[in-house]
Amino acid sequence: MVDADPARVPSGPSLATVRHRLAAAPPDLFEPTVVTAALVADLAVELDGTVLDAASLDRLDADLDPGVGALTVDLATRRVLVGLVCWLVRDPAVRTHPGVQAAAAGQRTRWMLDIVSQVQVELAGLRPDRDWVQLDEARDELARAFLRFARVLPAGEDLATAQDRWLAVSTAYQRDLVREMAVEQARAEELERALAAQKAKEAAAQYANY
Amino acid sequence: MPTTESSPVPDPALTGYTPMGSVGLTDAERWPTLDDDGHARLAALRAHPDAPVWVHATGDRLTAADEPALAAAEHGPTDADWVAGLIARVHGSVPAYRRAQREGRSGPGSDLSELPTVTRQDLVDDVASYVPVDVPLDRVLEGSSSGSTGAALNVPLHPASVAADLVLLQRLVAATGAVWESDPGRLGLANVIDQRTAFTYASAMTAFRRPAGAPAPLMARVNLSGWADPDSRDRFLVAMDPQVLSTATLPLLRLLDLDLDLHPVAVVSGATDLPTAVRDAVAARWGCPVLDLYGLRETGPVAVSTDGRGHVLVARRVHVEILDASGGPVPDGTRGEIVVTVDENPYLPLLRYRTGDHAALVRDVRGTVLVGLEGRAPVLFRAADGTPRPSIDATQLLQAYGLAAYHLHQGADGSVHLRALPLRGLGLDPRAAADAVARWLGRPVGLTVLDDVGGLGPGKPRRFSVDV
Repeated sequence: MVDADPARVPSGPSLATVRHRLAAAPPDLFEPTVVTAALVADLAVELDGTVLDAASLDRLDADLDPGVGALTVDLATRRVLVGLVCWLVRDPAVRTHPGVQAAAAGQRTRWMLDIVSQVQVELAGLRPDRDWVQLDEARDELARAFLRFARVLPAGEDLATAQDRWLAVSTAYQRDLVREMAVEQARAEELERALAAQKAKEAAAQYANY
Repeated sequence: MPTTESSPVPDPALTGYTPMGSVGLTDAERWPTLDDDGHARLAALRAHPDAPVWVHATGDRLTAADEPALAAAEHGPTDADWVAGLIARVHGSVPAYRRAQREGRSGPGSDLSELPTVTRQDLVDDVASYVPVDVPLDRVLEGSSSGSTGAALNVPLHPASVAADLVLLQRLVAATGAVWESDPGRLGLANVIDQRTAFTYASAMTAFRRPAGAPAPLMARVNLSGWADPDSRDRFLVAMDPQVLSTATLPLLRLLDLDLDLHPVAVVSGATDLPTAVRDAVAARWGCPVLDLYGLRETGPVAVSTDGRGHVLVARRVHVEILDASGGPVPDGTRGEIVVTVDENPYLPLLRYRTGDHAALVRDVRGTVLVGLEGRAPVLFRAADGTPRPSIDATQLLQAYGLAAYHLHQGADGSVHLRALPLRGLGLDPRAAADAVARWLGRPVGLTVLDDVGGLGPGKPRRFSVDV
């Protein structure tokens, strides 16, 4: 990562810690009856005694628990991701880690809510829900995304290594990469055609010699 | 070898030089902004009774949309931090730098010194990686560069950046105090070459800066060996009396030899080193300024020498570093490879492009100056005692002895041979130059005295070579 200041990113829990915790996630997190907004609200109280105000709770409800009848595929997958983030934050090995405490900088609820929203943006729709806990590569991706949005480095990794490994497992990055490479490939072919066209071959008058 | 109408191409492999074999446009497409009077004058030039066989037709392709770029070329860059802007931009739009950013090797805020250098071979292998993805390709022109060694290179050029060369020449000529104004009675510029086969054409210079209403001057690219009848060639050149002769050392020597009644406002020389003796001969013959222009097809003009005392960086978006063989910077005043960063051609911004040419960089009241410019990687000769001796020493020696052109070769057995074309009329003996080389290397030096530049072979001549 070129634009971050390495000195400002503390070392957090190991990747293995987070991966194991994901593998042990309770199956009921995948049930449509789970009240995800309540998981978030309870966790806020647990983290630093924050009681979310009525407006915040209404927004969470509207976003994550509009009722079983309104459950779309997108919403279901976001609910699972939020449930898994809450499960990870609740882990004492995570939330009491000194690096995490430094990253949260005394605003643990704010810190947790940031992860909740960023994980949804980054990962929603990329994989089938249960893959996040069952598949090695998916656990890797969610664990690295979680630590990244938690603003800590996986234990034992420096910023550049963490960045490289994140890009290697990031489905969105790899998808964008393939897309960008396809654009560049098409562009290279277009350039070749443009240079070979008669109107390019005729060139233009030259005023100096090189 | 003269090119004739009955046999315009000396070799079957050179079919690209068949007259009008590479032509695909109408005159209206070649000069979209040229008025009827301009087209009429151009037709008259093409049909001149002594005109050469025109091997090609090409224009400047400029439209009204190019005018802001040409107007900007009338002065240098106005933003001092254009390099930083270029670095930021290419990381968003140029595939090679987008890749570097994705992989964390560099980014929009990187310093120039953190970026890798780019070689000619990089462009030969994959030029598309250096072409921004966000520029429409509908105006791409093919720019070919043969280079002194290695594979030919085709780079995309933009009509406005090609034409900006003309605006720069106007500025450089004006800076010498010479007056170059639109004159319908003369050819505005002749690009003069002398080779076995070459594209020749007549064109109108619509980019030429001039008062409203003044006609666009005409130009022609002519090959001194391109007329069947040399008298016809001489009559044509005298009748056209080009205001600016834009050429290179060897055709320039040939022009001097022809001893025609010409009155150039200025002479521009490029492509090869311009020996002091030739510069002096031009000054003595025509009394006009001589601009020795250094650049590459890939980069456009980089620096110019008006007095033979170093090449001053031209006021374009061009930045020069001097690097050592390992790619590290050298202190000012130390010789190394010229590495160019340039942002003029929208199709090919280049960052840290290795030219393969060598010089030292100094900064003085004239600006940034390349001193001791050597137009290709220095060749190392071996003295009798085994010490390596760089070719730059020989350049200084041979120029001091008044040679117009030469080729110095050392065989695998150490033997040394000089083929020399002395500048006529100075009464200098080329044997003295050979003797100087013999003293320099501690070895005997064979000598062949040439009568004309043809003895050095076609194309961009190599001045030094060694068999290892």
